[in-house]
Amino acid sequence: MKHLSNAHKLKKQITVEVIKEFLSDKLEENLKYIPVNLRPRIKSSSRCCVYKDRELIKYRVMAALGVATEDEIEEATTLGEYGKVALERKSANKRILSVLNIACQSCVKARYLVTEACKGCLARPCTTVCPQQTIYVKDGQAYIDYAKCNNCGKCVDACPYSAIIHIPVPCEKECSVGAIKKNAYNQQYIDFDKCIYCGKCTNACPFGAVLEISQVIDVLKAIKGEKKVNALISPAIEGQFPGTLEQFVTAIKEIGFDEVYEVASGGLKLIKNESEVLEQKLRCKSESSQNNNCLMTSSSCPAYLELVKKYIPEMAQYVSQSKSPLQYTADKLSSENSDAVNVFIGSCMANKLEVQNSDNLDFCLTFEDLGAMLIAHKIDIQSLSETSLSPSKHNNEAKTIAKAGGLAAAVEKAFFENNTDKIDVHHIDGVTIDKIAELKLYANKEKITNYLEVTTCEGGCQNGPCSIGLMKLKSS
Amino acid sequence: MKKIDVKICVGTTCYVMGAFQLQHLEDFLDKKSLENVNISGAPCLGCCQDKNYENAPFVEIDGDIIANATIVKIIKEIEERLK
Repeated sequence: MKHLSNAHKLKKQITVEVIKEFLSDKLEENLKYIPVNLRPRIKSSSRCCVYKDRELIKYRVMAALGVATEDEIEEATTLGEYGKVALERKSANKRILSVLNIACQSCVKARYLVTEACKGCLARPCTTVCPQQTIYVKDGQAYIDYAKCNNCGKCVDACPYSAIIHIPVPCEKECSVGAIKKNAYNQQYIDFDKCIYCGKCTNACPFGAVLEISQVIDVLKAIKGEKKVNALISPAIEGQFPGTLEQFVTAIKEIGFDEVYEVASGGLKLIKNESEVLEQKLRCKSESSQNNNCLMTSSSCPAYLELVKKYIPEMAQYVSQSKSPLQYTADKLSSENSDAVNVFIGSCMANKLEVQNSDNLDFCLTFEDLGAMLIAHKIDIQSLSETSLSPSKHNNEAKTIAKAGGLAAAVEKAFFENNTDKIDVHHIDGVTIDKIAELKLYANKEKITNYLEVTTCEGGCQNGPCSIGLMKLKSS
Repeated sequence: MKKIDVKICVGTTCYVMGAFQLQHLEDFLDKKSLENVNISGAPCLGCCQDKNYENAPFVEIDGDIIANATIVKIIKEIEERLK
């Protein structure tokens, strides 16, 4: 469950302000007012003073413009000048994530701490359990000798008073691949050779120091331009916004998109393809009279594909050759009209990578970006009329692929429509350090399944890092 | 006793700015509060017009508007009324 955080609210607010300035045609002139308006002198500050807040907001505005901290021209370069850069560039920034180093609080290295709840007891299991013998007791209280401690954490479980706590670095804790780490100045940076672009660090940092580089300006420019602009909506849309899907389509068209397509349509093709290939593979195996232990793993989560490439190369041979539902949808649209601009709208950050690498996709927006667009345009979805989708609404099965386990279940069902053989399907829900270890077991055939679906985000795409949150209440 | 009416605005602005989180209000209420409130989603209450969107999400409790609503704020209001 996503929590309401002030860091998130600020990010959305900044995106709304940037979009408003774009729509007013005075982007370059008015950007400079955003930091001042959001942190006027009379208002209390989040940091030491409003001036530091404003400076940080400047970099956040840059991210909303699609300019990363790393792209900074000079410290003195104004927001207006970055606005010009954004308006004049021909293609979106290739950067996806950026650490705003001045916002990074330089959290102390992850460590264990003996709190004052320690009673200096007679048993002292912490001292006996520590393999490095780092814990000593002085004046009736245990202490950790940090020069020797190797952060194993055994003392935490051993203490009967729960007096020893773990203090993590929030972004490092969320990163399952150890891609975000400290530089010589104790500030975090992302090692992009290791990053799988899952985006979890952006939500994990309590100071909002990991920025997502937005493509809203690029999309707004495309909408203003001559070409037809298509919105390709992720199946994760279900429940992300109030109102019906048909009202949502009207809302997207009011923003200025020409046509709206459901990526779920590509999902149907994916399900069919996966079950057929699986069938062929199993048949091959049984003819050569081996056990039915062939493995195929899903290819539609772009962060998982990065994970395989960078960390589980032995899995690469089992990755399905099917394209992603997004790619199928984009290919079809391009074959119909190669001149249109195709914009994917979803909950995912890794999709930006997929969009970059595709010939038939141009830009990637997140649900948060889209929410900000709706606010800036003052569009209330529930008050709109309904527009039916062309082609008509896709069946619910294709939509369930946005939920963890949905694809595996759909492939199994499609398989049984033509087969009576037994197959085993399994899904990995959310990539963590433990799950990566489990994936390696599957890749090395120490664990057996026939179809392995992997979603990097726990719960599936609907819980992606840029999702809004699932609608629960119905409005009366 | 008449139940306290808690209307959570689920207009687009409020929803995007944080009402998604307020939907879980029920899970945070104690038994006494739960028995005495009527929680519902409301279409746009109209509070987000002009520059006021930054104070979203809005919640209406027995006719009173709460700006920058959080679960803690709502619980406080409910408890105040149950005194």
